[in-house]
Formats: sequence, structure tokens, C-alpha cells
Amino acid sequence: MNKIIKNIFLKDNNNTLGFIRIFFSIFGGLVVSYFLIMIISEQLKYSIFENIVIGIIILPFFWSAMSLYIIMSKTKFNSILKALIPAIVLYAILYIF
Amino acid sequence: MKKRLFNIHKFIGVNVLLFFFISLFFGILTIFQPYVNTWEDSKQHINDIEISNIDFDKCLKQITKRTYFGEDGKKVRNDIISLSFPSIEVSASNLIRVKNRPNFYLDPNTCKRVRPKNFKISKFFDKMHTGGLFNSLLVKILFGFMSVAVVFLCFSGILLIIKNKYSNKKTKSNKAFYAKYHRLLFFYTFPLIFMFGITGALFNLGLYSSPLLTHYLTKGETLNALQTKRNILVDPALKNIDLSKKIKSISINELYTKATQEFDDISFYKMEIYNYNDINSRVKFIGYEPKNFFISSMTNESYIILDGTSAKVLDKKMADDGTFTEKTLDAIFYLHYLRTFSDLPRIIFAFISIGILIGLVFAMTLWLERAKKDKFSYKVLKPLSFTIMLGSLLSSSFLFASTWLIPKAAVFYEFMGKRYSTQETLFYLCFLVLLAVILFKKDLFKITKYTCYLSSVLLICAVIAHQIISEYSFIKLYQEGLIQILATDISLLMLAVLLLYAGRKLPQKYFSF
Repeated sequence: MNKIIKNIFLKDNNNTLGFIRIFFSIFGGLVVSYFLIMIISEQLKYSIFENIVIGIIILPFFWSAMSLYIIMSKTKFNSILKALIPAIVLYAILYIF
Repeated sequence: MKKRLFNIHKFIGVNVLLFFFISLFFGILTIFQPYVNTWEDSKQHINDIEISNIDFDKCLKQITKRTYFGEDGKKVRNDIISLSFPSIEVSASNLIRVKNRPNFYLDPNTCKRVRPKNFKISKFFDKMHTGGLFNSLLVKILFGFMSVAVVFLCFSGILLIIKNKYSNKKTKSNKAFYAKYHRLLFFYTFPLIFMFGITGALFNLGLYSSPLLTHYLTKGETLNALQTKRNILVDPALKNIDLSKKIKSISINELYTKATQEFDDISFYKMEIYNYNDINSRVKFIGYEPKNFFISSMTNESYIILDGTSAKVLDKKMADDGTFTEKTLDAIFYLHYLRTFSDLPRIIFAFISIGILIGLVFAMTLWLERAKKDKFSYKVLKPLSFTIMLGSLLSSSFLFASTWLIPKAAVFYEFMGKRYSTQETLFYLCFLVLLAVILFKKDLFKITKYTCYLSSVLLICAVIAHQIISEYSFIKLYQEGLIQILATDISLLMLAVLLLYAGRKLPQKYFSF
């Protein structure tokens, strides 16, 4: 137990990527960027189809930027937080407004 | 931290590299689609003709001779005709294509019906470029994810360059040479690769990634983005009006000259005729403005609608009148489609793309140099990468040769009740044979050398077979003014000579891994 906690919370000195970072950077990045384009394309004032196309075009941009941001985190716990907190905040914004 | 960034760049890069290579290699061949398309079919060896010189009345008679049935079982109305003009750049063909009739092509010089080949290698290259390997949907979606990964690699590569200030010194080892040129070639073509990634993701992944967004924006009406009202990316057809009173319309040639006079600078590629020889007849001409770069191509078209009886302008749209979205999308797509490019810009673009291709090959060889030799991924990727890189070269030159060498009866064959194309099967077989050779004979230097020789021999075969079987020799091509086909023949020969030279001069020191 102690080992797992140490593994997750402490700064890694080796430079391997690890499953947690890759998983959260790809899927967490996808979720966060998808919520982001939903918010952005809702604010645009063109027709619905135009809004969808613009949203889909900027999706890979945000997805890869978000993935890079998550994977560059210092500890594994940090990478989980970087994926979860924006996702929850953006979902709350989507849900409320 | 720098090391981890480097690791993720390597990890994602090596996973998508071979997909990107296939897409890029066949993309370069697709740039030359117009020339290959006219070269591969002897029925398309016809002179180019100005659109205003085509006798449209004669052509319309030819189209309305027979009645056709649409997909819904109803008769296709004879007075509604949509056809694309023989503009070699936009439609990659020098025939008139009637769009709302199945497989209906007309020779613009004589207005006679032409039946082109059913399997065209120019279309096949386009299919490979968009990820249609084995006609499977899965590969298409994989190619979409690959383009997202390309965007990611662009970001991480730029970040790597910013963080580690690399110096571009003269290199000593192979490894440093590959690393330097991989970095430099991709750094200078960065905007282009970024644009390829963004647009590729839209084409292949757009339909499958949009349902949630569509559901949210339409408030739960539909999941399919294509079912919403489409006002961009496709030009909607005009509303049908029932026939009421018969009146002779003005001839299309006159309407065409009238339409060109309305614009300063226009090149039409498509025409739609509604209710011809009726009181409500309308003709729509669609085109692009050649001097209006970056905002006037396929997604932001300019059009004009003329009244068929009085030649009055009913509606007109210039490229500058397009909405903000249309202009933006057009600017993004302009350098991917290349539909409005003439000969020289196409060739320059192809050379830039070959630069990207070389950078990609360097990336693969760099990975092979750095990898640990006893790892599983090294053992898999070494033969696989050589198969795909050499196999693309070999099998595409094989396609060029087989276009003319395969007899007409054997173009398609039936197997288990399904119709397959022989050339397509041989194309995949080439890869398999090469993989087998690489697995059995481990000398990669010799295999690369002989692949270069073999593909150059195949290209020479293709040119000679074209001369003999189509009965268009160099002299006849020159006399009849078919310069584009002559140039295609000569450039294939030059490519063959270049490959022979490359095979001869190939240095062995680059195969040390």
C-alpha cells in the first residue's frame, strides 16, 4: 500500500511514461477538449451545421494541446488531477448554462 | 521533463509513422491525378477544348436520348441535367461528366458517349491516400486518429525545439545526420503538416466524432450532423418547379458567354440546367476565381443563375460575398485539395511534399538506429517499415505497368460470388511478396537496391506498353498536340532513370542498423 501511494504521489525520477499518464492524456484530453468545443460552438452565431464543422475542425487542436499539457505533469497524481478538474468544471458549465 | 517529452514524441510518432507514410506517398501521386487519369485510358487521349467552343445543344440531345431510373425507382427528369465541364484541374478529367446519370461521360469535341475504364489507378491512389485500404471502415478511422496524432507530434516537436536549443552543426555520425534533417525538414514545412493533420481529422473522423456535439446543439433532434440543414461545404440544388408551358430556351453557349461576361475573372467547372425548354427554365453556372487566392476554391464557390428564356440574372454570388466560415474553411482547404492549381504550382507542391516524405523516412531510420536491437518492437518494425516504404514504390510502379499490360477480359475476376479488381489484388500481393523476401533474405541493402531496379524496369515497361498498346507513339502524341500525355510518358521515363541511378549509387553505410 505504502509503495503504491509513494508511486503515485511522489515525483518520478525515471523518464518512462507509464500507463496512467498515457491513458489520462489521451482519454482525459479527449473529454476535456470535447467539452471545450461544445462550449465554444454553442457561443458561435452561425447556422447549426457551420457551428458543428468549426467545432470538429478545432477538436484535434485542443485534444493534442490538452494531451501534451497532461503528459508533462510531474507526478502521476498531478496528471489525474489535470484531467479530472477541467472536465468537472467544464461539465458544470455545460450543465448550468 | 525534456526526456519525457522526447519519449512521448517517439512513442506516438513510431506508432503512426507508417500510416502517415502511406497517406503521404499516395497523396503525392494524387497531386498528379489529372495527368495519370488522361494517361491511363486511350479513350481520354483527346485534345483539350475551350468550354465556349463545345457544342452544348448537340451534347444535350445526346443526354436526353434515353430515360434513366434513379435510385428511388423514379424516372430521372430529362429536363434537369447537372454536368461538370472538362476542366482538367478541378475534375481531373477531360471528358464532360453528366452527374445525375450513372456512368455517363461525353467527349467534348464530338459530343459522343464515351465509356472510360472501370478501374482507374488515379482513383485508386486517391483511395489509398484517404485510407481506403482493403475497403475497410476501421482503417479509415485509424487514419483519422493518425491525423490527430500528427497534430500532436507537431506541437511536441515544436516544444522540443524550443526547449533544447539544437545547433545545426555539420554532422559526423549517421544518427546525427538523420536527426538534423528530420528536424529541419519538418520545422520548415510545419504549417503544411499541421494543416494536413487538421483537415485529415475532419475528413476521416468528422462524421464519427460529431454525434454528441450535434445532439447537444440541435437539442436532441438528431445524432447525424449531415441531417442538419447544410449551407456550407455542399452547394444545394435549386428547388424543382413542375413543367408548365413549353417555350424554346436560349442555347447554352449563349448563356455561357453571358455568364462569363458577368464576372471579371472566372473559370466555371460545373453547370446545372433546370426545366430546359420551359417557361421557368433556369441555368446555374458554378466556378472559382483563379486570381482570388486562398478564398476562392471548392468550398467557397462563385455561382450565377440565369433565366433560360430571357437570360436575366436571377442570382449571383462572388467569392468575396461568402460567409466568414466559408472563407475560413476555403483558406484551410486551399492547400490540401489543390483543385485550382495549374501545372507549375502542382509540381512545386509535389517537391515540397517529397521533402516531407524524406523527413519521414529519416524519422523511421533514426528510430531504428536508436532502438535496442533485442526488443520485440524493433524486431517487428524493422521488416514492416521496409515492406511499407519499398512496397509503396514497387507496387505503385507495378500498377502503372499493369494498367496497359493486363488484357481487357482479365481486369475483373469473380471469387466466391464477388467481383474483385485484378490490379488491386496484385497491388496487395506485391507487399506480401516483398515482406516474404525481406523475412527470408535479411540483407536489406541488396533488397533496397533491387527494388529500385525492379520498379524502374516496371516504369519503363509501362511507357513502352503504353506506346504499343494504345498506338500513340511519342511522335503521334506530339503531332496531335497531346502534350500532357507526352509529358507524363517522359516524366515516367525520367523517374525510371532516376531510380536506376539511385539503386546504383546507394551507399551501404546507411544500412548499418
